[in-house]
Amino acid sequence: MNHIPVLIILFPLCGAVLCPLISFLNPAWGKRAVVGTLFASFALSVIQLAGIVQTGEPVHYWMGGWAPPYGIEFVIDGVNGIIIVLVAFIGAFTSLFSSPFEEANPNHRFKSAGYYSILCFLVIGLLGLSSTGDAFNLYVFMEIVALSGYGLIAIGEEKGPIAAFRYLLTGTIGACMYLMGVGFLYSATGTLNMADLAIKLKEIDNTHIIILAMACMIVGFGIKMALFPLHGWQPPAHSYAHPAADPMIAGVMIKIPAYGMMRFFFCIFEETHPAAEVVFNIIGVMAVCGILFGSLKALRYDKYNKILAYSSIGQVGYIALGISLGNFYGLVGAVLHILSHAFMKTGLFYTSAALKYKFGIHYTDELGQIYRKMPVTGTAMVALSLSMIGLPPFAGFFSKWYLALGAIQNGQYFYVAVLIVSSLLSAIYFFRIFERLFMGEEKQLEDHYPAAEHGRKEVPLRMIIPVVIAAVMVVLLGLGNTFIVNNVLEITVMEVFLG
Amino acid sequence: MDKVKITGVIVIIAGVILAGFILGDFLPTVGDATSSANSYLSPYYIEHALHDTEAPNLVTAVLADYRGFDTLFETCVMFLAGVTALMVLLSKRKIVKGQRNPSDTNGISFSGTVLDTAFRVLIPVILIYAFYVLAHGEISLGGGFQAGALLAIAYMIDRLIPSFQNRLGFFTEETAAMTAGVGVFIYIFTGILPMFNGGNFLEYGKLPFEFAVEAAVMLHPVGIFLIELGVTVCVMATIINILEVVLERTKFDD
Amino acid sequence: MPVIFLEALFLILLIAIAVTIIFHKDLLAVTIIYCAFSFGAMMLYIIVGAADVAFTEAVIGVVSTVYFIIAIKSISRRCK
Repeated sequence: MNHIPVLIILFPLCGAVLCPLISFLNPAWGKRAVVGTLFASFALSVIQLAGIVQTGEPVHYWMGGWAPPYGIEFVIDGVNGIIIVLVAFIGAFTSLFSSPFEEANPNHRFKSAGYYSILCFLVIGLLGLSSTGDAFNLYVFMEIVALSGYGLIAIGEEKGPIAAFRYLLTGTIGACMYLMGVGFLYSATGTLNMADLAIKLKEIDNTHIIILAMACMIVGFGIKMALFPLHGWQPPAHSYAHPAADPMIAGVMIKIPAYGMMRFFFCIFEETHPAAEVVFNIIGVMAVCGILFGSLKALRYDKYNKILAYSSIGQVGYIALGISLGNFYGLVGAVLHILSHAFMKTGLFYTSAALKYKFGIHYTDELGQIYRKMPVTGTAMVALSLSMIGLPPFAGFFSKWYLALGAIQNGQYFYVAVLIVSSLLSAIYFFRIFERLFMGEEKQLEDHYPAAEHGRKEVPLRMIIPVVIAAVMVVLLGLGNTFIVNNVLEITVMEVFLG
Repeated sequence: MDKVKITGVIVIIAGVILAGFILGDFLPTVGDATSSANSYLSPYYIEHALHDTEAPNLVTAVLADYRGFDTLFETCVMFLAGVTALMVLLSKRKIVKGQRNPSDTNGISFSGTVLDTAFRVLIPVILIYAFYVLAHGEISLGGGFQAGALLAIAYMIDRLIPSFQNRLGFFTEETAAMTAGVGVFIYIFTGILPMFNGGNFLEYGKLPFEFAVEAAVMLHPVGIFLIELGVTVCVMATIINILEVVLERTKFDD
Repeated sequence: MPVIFLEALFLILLIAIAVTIIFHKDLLAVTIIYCAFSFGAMMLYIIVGAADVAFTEAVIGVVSTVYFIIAIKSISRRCK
């Protein structure tokens, strides 16, 4: 079936668009339509990845039958395929996870339908961002991701609308800068297709416009992925978003623009350009500042979501560090960190939402002895936090290992020192959470999901399954990382980015 | 100096710097026929668009046929904006939603003799013009977005002048959001139909309407018209949706 | 007269309107001036030759001005 690249996006699109109409007729079916189409999309993405790994060649799909550069095309190669599987997987399980939060209520038919519609559009936008092979189409998908992000943050907790407004202002500036970059590239080369841009940019001799376009791209993607000086919107946005959509927002939404940056800087702009070294150094400086800033600021706060949000700034710094290294191990480390951090952060936000659902816990000092009442969630929190710190055999260790290898290969030992220092700093704040969890005194909290009514389950089954799956995937990625790196990543990263 | 003034000064300085960049010599002049932007894709579109798509308006040909996939997601962005506005309202609503009184404009009244008389004449003209713009999108200026916005303007006028007796208005916020979804679905469905006939997504040449047209290339205007219809419905419903949300929001006293 | 004078006129008009919108205090007047901004942008689009975009801008300018006026009706008209 050669229509798979577009069917991955079309199924959830039909689900999201028809969800309000179906909910008008029967409130529960709108929700099931969205969840069902997202799972179908995940299945198709796995089939697509299997096909690519088998044949070893990228898949091209021409929209409307027009050949590029006159029409739009989707290009799926090895790295793309993995990221699409990741996004579809987390999207499907997040939509399953949010069903207890949004019980279909006949008086407010639209409330849950609107939430599912916006969540489904977030997944569609991220899938499209990774699949497309056209620079302007990437802008359109980035707008869909941003707009659904604004929506999901604005319907969150008390300070949600203010956080969403701040994100809206900075996000619009970021999108404008990206669009200006695409405009400069179009005026210099006359084409919008990414493969075509790569060929034509080598031929032109006017380097000022390429440097200006690179600068615009750094600012544009930097705002979207919350790189160091452009991160201002991120902490309030991630701490006050809707609790069930927060895993998707914090785990996946800030990583895919990092993949977009990799696409632009390694596939389109050539690495041997004289300005490329300066550009990579600038990204490296921003990354190091982000890592240290994120880890230091996370020590100050007591609110669980805020700690996780500041730690995300640090983790995105790791990915940017991998980009700035520019060599083979650096890029493998960056892609592996996208995969592992997506599961780690998503899992931690799942546990945070589960705590909020059952006991209304927002602050870490209310966490005393929670592992007695919520054993599965407690175990998952411990496993995921150990992975974030970077202990083997969890996945977090291996991605930092590859980044350190890349730094040594380039001879930049300062980056290795930064990696070690930041791991120690994250150990400090995560172990503080463990101390409160295991040795804090038990607080009297109101139980919203009492065990007496619902049997032995601590939170509904639809919420436990994603938590367990995130923790298990972190362990599996850690143990199986040599399999992934040797068989899939090495070949594809070499070919796509450095070939 | 308060924050707004500081922001204003920063913006002006940034604008001056940007203007300095633009006046530097690396952007081609407007209308230069030999610049690289005008000598690669544009001659192809100018020469082949009429033959490939049977649409004399080159802008519609590129927007709805060659790059129709982008237009689909722009329409989705409009739908998403309407749904998001509605969700933000619903999460803050404190009053119970009771029976809707169609002539209740929540305290906003723009009536008066001049307005009443003038708009009795204007609304039918705007409606006819909207359908004209939709149907002639391929030949002259126009297309789905403009037609949808014009239909919504006619609805807006009717909704905001409270002394009209017969109301066009029958949309609530939620109904408008549903209609926008249906509009986008019309667009997607027009794209899916060719996939059953052996073509790619949005390939109008393979739409299964062969019996209705005389040549295969004449299917392209059919496809373009159907997607413009979808865009019109979505844009009209979204603008009405946001209007109802803003009107509802004025009832709060916070 | 040469098009460059018209283009310069509208560009200066846009800058002046933008500065006024930032620094003026009466919100209703600012909304009407924003409608004039939309008009100036529309004229610029016609001058560079994008007629479809100008048509869309004219229509959407009306819609956004109506939204702003409805929104301002419910909050105070002066800002500090």
